Amino acid sequence: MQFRAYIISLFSSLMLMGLLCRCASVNPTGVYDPIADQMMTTLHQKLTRHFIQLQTKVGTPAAAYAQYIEFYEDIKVDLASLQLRLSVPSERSIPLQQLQKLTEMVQQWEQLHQMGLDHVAQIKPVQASFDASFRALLTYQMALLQHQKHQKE
Amino acid sequence: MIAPAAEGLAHQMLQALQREMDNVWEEVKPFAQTEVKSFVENLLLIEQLQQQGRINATQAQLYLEIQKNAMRVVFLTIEGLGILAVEKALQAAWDVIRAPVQAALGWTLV
Repeated sequence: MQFRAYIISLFSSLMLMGLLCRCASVNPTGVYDPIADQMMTTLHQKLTRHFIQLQTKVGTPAAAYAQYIEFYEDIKVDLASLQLRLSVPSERSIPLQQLQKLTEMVQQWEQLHQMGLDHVAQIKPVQASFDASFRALLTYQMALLQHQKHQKE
Repeated sequence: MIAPAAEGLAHQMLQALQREMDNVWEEVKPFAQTEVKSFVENLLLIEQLQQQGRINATQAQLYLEIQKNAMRVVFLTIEGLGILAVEKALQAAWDVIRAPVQAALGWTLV
C-alpha cells in the first residue's frame, strides 16, 4: 500500500515536472531569428528612405499623402509578414509586442501624413521616434543572439 | 512647459527605471540613459511645433502617441535585457554546481 502511494506520488511529480517544462518552453524573451532580424533592418531602411525623401519634398505637392499610398501598403505588408513570423514561437514574446507597437506607430504617422505636412520640423520628431524604436528592436535582437551563443558554449 | 524641466524629467525617469530594475541596472543602464535622453529631446521638439503653431491639438496628440509607443518599444527591450541578464546569472550559477552534483548523483543533469 505504501509502495502504491509512493508510485502515485512519483507519477504526479513527473506529471507536474512535465507541465512545468511545457510552460517554460513558452519563452517570453523570444528567440533569435536571423530572418526576422534582416526583415527589421530592411523595414528600417525603407522608413528612413521615406523620411529623407519627405524632408526634401515637404511643402510641395510631391509630399502629399496621395503620393505615398503605395508606400504605406508596402510597409503594412512587411509588418504583417514580420508579425506572422514572430508569432510562431510565442504569441506574447517581447519582439512580437515590440512589433505591435511599431505597427501602431506607422498607423499614427499615416494619420499625421493624411492631415498634411508643410515643414521639415514636423517630420524630425517622428523619424527620431522610429529610429529609437528600431535601435531598441535591433539591440534586443543582438542581445538574443549573444544569449543564444552563450547557451551553446 | 517641458523645456526648463527637461533634464530633471530625464533624471526622474531614469531613477524610476533604476528602482524597478535594481538587480540588473548595470546591464541596462547605458541603453536606458541614451533612450530616455532621446525621448525627452523629442518631447521638446513636439512642444516647439505646437508653440510655433505648426500643429494643432489633434496632431500634437498623435505625435505624443507615437512617442509613447516608441518608449514602450524601448521599455520592452529594457525588460528583455533584464530577463536575459537574470537567465545568464542563473546559468552561471548552474554551471558551478552541475559537475559536483553530477558526480554525487552518478548521472548527467541537463
